[in-house]
Amino acid sequence: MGKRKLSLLAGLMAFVLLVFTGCSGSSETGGKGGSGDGGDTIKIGIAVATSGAIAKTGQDSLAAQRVAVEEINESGGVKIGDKSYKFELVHYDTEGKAESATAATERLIQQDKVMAVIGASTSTETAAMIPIAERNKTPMLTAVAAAPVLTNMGANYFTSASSQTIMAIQKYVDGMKNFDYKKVAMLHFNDEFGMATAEAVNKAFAENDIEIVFQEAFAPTQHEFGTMLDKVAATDAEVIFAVAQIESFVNLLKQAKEKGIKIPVRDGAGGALEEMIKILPPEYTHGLVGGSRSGRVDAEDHKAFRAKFEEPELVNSFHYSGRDSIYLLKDAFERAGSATDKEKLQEAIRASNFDGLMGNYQFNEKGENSIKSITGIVLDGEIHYYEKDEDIPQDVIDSIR
Amino acid sequence: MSEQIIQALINGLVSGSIYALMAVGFTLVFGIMHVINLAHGELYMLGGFSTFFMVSIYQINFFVALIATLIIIGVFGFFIEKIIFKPLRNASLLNTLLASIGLSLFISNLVLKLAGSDMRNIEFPFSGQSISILGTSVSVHRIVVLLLTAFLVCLLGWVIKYTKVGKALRATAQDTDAAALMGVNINLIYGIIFAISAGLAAVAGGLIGSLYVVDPSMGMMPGMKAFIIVILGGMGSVVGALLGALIFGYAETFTTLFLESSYQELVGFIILILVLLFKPSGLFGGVNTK
Amino acid sequence: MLNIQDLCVNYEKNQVIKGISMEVKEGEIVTLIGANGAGKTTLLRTISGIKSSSSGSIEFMGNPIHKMPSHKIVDLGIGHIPEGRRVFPEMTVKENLEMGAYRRKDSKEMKKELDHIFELFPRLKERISQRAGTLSGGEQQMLAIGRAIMLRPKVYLFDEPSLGIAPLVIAEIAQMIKRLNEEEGATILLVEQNANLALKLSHRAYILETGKISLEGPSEELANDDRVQKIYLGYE
Ligand SMILES: Nc1ncnc2c1ncn2[C@@H]1O[C@H](COP(=O)(O)OP(=O)(O)OP(=O)(O)O)[C@@H](O)[C@H]1O
Ligand SMILES: [Mg+2]
Repeated sequence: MGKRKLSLLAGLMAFVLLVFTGCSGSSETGGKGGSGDGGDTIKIGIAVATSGAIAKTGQDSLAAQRVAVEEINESGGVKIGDKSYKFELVHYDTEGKAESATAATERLIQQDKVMAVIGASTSTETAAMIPIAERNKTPMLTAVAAAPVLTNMGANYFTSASSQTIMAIQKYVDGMKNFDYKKVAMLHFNDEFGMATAEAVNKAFAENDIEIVFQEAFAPTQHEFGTMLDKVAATDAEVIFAVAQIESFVNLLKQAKEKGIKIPVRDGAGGALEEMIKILPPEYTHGLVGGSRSGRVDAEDHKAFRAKFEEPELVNSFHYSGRDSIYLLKDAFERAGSATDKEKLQEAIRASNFDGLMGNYQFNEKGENSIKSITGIVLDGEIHYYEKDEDIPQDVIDSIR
Repeated sequence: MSEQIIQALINGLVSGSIYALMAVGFTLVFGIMHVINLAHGELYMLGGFSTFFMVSIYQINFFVALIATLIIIGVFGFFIEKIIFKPLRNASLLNTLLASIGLSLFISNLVLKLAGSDMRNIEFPFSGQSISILGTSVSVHRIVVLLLTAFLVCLLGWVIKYTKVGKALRATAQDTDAAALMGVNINLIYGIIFAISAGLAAVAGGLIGSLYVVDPSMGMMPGMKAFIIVILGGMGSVVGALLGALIFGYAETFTTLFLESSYQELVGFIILILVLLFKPSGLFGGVNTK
Repeated sequence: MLNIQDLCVNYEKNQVIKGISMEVKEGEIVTLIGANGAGKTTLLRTISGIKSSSSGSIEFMGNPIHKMPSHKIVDLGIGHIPEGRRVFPEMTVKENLEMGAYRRKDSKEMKKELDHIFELFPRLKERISQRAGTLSGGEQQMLAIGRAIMLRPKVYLFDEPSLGIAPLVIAEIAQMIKRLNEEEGATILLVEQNANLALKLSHRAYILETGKISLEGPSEELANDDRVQKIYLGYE
């Protein structure tokens, strides 16, 4: 084989690999939460990324979903009429890719005959899945992805059980006002979720006289932020507002510190503060404010739930959302009074009035929920939670600014 | 702006030098053994983890940990060659490539099982410090990464050029049979090449792990990029790999500087497409530069 | 010194050496003559251990070497000047010569050895820092021989040293082979298609036809054999 031919072949292979990496390994992950004791079961499909660059949130929510299913099955199962059913989870890895997510959804509905699908990790994946659920008239929930585009698609069978970006936006505005920030540098993902959030934040900030002096998008797979941060440092921004999942967020924090950037970083994606303080030493995370989804850690229910995990201190809002999604379905099944009627189940989901660990779930006609978010502030490596912005003491604000 | 350009020049050099550590090993293995090792990124990831465990758990000095990582993963690479690639010595390029994909899946899943998907932070001794270069503040961390990589690349160059092992490597690359007739133990040389390749990737992983964070999927993109760089430089060419790495690092950095970060990850694809269209043999593909 | 018994060599399913037995005694020049594709190169590569045999045995000074890795065979003292020279094209003349002494432990002797080679081939000395790939064919052949001498082997395996080389240089190389044998007491196995030259140079000869020895004997005798004259020496 000539050198030229060889490198052409190699190049083609590289290309094929770049396009399809991981796809090959997609379907191997049919992890099943088993029942198998002969009793009637209801299958629930989970399609979240548990490998790839954004695996963290999916793994967290899935772990919590498994715990929730175990809890329900052990305490009598789902009671419909005078029968009791067990939940069975079927999970496929979406790898953070829309192709894998749609394949997983098709398979869950057609092959595994699940009653409902919960997914996915990113809004891009989720947006690709919704039409499939809609076509198959199968109820679909999301516990992680949260872009407003999802509920704006007008799907009847899709309901957002993750805390809503729309709610969060107001929170972000309030946060900026509270700390009296006027100039913001916004760094955001270039995926559907990042772009949509950036757009909404842009609008909301403009209406509130908060100036975005620098804005830049980046890919979720990116790790190198040196030059982008140098550009931020050259502006007069008072705070960095980052819309990114934890993988990128941690790198961003780390490189900001390495670059000697003094202004604080704010989370604009409901990142897991609990995880971040575990990964990074206090000097990296001090002053970090997490906007939307940090759970109330001090309540008894939360403590009891956390105790079911090997590392309770790492349990975060994605765990809570995941857990809630399963209990929400249990509640809906019991009200629907059927283990097989998807239409009734869908109606019951939309009619929910369910108290979960994240808050009270009620849905409007678009499938948006009403969960209120909580503010978490990291001070010297510890997270302080505030249910209302007014509760944040002035000295905390001063120490961060 | 001039400040940002100076910073970008350094950022690009840092990225480029890390890519160089990756690409040189990749191209050596291809040039001498005709193996496209798609598990290269996983060796880089292992280097990140090895450094992390030593620095953060056992409190070993960062630089000592890097040297230990070089050796440990190097030895691991040596045995990978013996266990996986030696039995495939006369197999086609495609077969060894598939074997390397298998290896890559195995390593990444094993690490995922053992260490979980959590991200880990490696503390760097001079983190947060900066020095002034031409009136611009530049992070000491990046300068150290740069110096270390430059040192390693020069060391490798010296070994290849002047030592007996280096001569045997070159002889094997140029004519395996003739080298065997001179008494070069080809199997040993192949093992050594793999060890060098793995060791350098691991150091890159440790250095980058200190600049970014360490997690089981950290090797995927750098592994791909190393492959693209080697195609750009010309498969098997060490000089090509070095030059390709610098071009790649600067292309990414200046894309971010003048355009936007979100295009940064596209640079690789664009370079790949351009090379395949206009010079499929790569920059140094026609000439053997060993 | 070199003793081959019932040797068979295959490329995949294709048997190329089909049960050869031959012997090279110490101090001899033995030549192996055969047409293209007869298996001469394959035989030498098998002796050197870079091609594996499928059955039979090769003994060198009492050691079985047919299962030995090639670098161990080099250690025992077998030097191989391969077909088509096979110098390292991107290395200098000096580096090529140094590669020849790769297995030698006495690096102090190297300088002396280099001087010796340059005495034998003054043309190489003038080109000491030149890349071997840019040498002429004749110069490359000299380099390949010089490279083998660096090892000071007990047996030299020459694979068609006259291939593609001008008559004047061929004479020079033939002279060199004779000198190695007579002055340095080296044993030589010479593969050649130039039967004329080979039979003149050698003491004994084997004729190889499609993987089998068809004829063997003292070179003078074979040079007078009708069949050999007709097929290999081109007499009518
Ligand atoms: N690597 C190989 N793979 C398969 N077949 C081979 C290989 N090398 C040689 N052969 C075959 O083995 C046979 C003997 O080849 P060999 O090179 O030993 O012949 P030779 O006598 O040296 O010929 P020449 O005088 O042309 O050099 C030929 O038919 C050749 O095609
Ligand atoms: Mg031949």
